[in-house]
Amino acid sequence: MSSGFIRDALARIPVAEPAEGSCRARVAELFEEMRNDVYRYLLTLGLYPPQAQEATQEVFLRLYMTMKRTELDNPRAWVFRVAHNHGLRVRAGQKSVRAFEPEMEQRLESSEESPETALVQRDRMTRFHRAIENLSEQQKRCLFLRMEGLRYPEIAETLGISASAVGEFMRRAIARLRREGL
Amino acid sequence: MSRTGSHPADGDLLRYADGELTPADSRRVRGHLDACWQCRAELSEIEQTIGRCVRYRNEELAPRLPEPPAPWMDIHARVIELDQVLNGRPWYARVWEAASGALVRQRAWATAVAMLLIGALVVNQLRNAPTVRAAELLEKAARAQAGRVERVAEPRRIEVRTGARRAVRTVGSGTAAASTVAPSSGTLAAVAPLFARARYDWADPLSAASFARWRDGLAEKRDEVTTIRDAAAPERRWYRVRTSTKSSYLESAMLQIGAEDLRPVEAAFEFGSQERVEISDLGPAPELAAAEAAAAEIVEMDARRAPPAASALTPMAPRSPAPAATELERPATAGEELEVLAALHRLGADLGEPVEVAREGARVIVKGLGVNPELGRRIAAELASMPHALVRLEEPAGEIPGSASSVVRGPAAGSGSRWQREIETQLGGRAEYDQFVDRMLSASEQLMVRMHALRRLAERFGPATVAQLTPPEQAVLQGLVREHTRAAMAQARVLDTLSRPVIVAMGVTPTAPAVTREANWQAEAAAMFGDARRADRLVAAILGGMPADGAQGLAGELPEQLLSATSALRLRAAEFSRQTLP
Repeated sequence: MSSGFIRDALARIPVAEPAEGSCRARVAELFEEMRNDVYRYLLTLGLYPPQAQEATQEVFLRLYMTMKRTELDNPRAWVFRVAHNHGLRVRAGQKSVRAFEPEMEQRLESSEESPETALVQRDRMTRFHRAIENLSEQQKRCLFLRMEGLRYPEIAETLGISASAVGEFMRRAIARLRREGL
Repeated sequence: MSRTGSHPADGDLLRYADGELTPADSRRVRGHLDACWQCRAELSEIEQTIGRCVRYRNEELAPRLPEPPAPWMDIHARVIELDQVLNGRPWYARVWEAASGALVRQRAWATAVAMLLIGALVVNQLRNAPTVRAAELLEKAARAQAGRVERVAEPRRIEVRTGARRAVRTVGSGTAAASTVAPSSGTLAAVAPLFARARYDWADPLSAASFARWRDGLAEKRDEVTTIRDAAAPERRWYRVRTSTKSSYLESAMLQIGAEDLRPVEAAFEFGSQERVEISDLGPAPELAAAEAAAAEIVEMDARRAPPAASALTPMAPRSPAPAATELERPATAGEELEVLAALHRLGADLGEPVEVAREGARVIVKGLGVNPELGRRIAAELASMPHALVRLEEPAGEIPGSASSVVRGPAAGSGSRWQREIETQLGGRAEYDQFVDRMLSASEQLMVRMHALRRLAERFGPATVAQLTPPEQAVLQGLVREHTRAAMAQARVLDTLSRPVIVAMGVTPTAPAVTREANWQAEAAAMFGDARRADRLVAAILGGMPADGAQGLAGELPEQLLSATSALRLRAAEFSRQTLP
């Protein structure tokens, strides 16, 4: 670490923190708004529910630390990028070799809707769910991050691939889902 | 990117919809879309699929994932706590915090706000595809009809019109329905073969179930659903489902269904021979004794004469039993399902095709969405001789050419993770690396296709079901399982042989994985599926999607895990085929 870098970093530490309160309020607001999305995203990444919840909270504490120092253009993209990376680390450390896989199909089958629509709905749901399950891992990751509102360059940065690769994965994912019908 | 005149390149429409094209390219696509119906239709389907994804996320996935196990933290309290701890820290800890903050700063271009996009997606999801609406409506109406039939047998009269002629006939419900065909009577005798040729149930033509059966059998179709109102009484509404196709002798059929009771009231059929047949509901058959209703009456007259009178009723010839129906009253067996699966396998339709097989009552239903029409025809032909098999293929209009066969590229040079760079170094260059990636991804994809097929078999044919199969049927099942396993093993071998030398050269010591035995082959198949999916994810992570951040945390582990996953898979598969399938 060069001394210039340290100086820069020190300069970034506010002497007084008049904005601390508003920063707290902002993070609390974002937490309220996004925590369920982040938690569910982490479940789809293969984390078990307790770890996913823990990781979600961790991400927002880091968000607070970061927002105290830096202005974020797009906190949502930041949150998902950090959640994704942190989630992968947590998953790698999970004792179980198997990733958490919500038993969607059983849950879909046991869902209690009006008997009239249940059959058609369940059938379509299961089919679409299977179609998503059958996407390749990269396609799925791109799709899920896109569903959380991230743009291609943001997804690319999260996954460590190029934006054009994201475009290609997205194209293939949408093409496959489209063939599965609606 | 292509010029204004020619169609945008594959993938540009999605990029356009996602706002990811440069302004100039975006303008060109917009100009092209103004001129080109085909691309506009394509774009609208892409947006429908996006809408489906959003619905899936919000309405299907979210409510079904487990709730957080604990109450959420009080973030206010936690950040205050955090501040206190940090303020009490030595200066170097604060420098470190600040420095790591500098590393996670956002890049300047990331100004676009994701919320706008979410808004756009929500707008798109509100549109509903006619195909879905048509299928849903028909299914509901058919179920409503089935409900009516169960409650009370209600013979109804329908009027059949073709050209200047018309005829009135009674269609009973339930068992009587199949008996109303009168091969000898004039107008109807001319009409019946048209329906037979189109495979449309003439026994009960004004029915959602018959319409749906015909529609489900089409390899290619277009649906249109409209709502119409009675001008005199605006509260009366009907749905009109029109399905047109090029793959049936019946080129277009329309069914009008009451919005309230879902009862079909009108139908119109246009055949390839230019004949047009219209059918209207005349209400419950009056004054008919149950026996007469069961025998079904037919009235026929010239349209230019007086309307039908009771005296014009002529008894129909006694009905002959419908053999297919009686034969099919018992539920389909696992053996029959297996027979259908084996037939699909002969066509390769069980590998990576969007085809599902399920038993429903007396039928083995083969469902497919977006199956290529040629394969659809071959499936229908292959299954034609099986009375219990029912093929329902649907086509979301507009197939994407070549979408399944193009090869996934690894990320562009320079953007790769350290694994990618390391493997590239090991292999000696970018070209070698690209080839390696292609082969790995393709082997991984084919492995998963086989494993999905194998898992399907294991799910559909549990130990109890297998016990019901006859020895020849068991042999068929065994043959399918064996073939999928062998093919999966071959792909696992490819993955292993390709990656092992590279990974070993990276300094990883291979360790022998421990493989536990499962109780039966179904459980073994599930375990193999788990191994294969792990390998697939690792391949994806190493070659495609591993974020640099995560890779640092896992140094040395990913390739090692891959090695272990492919070895485990090979061991298990070898054991599996040796012991379970001698």
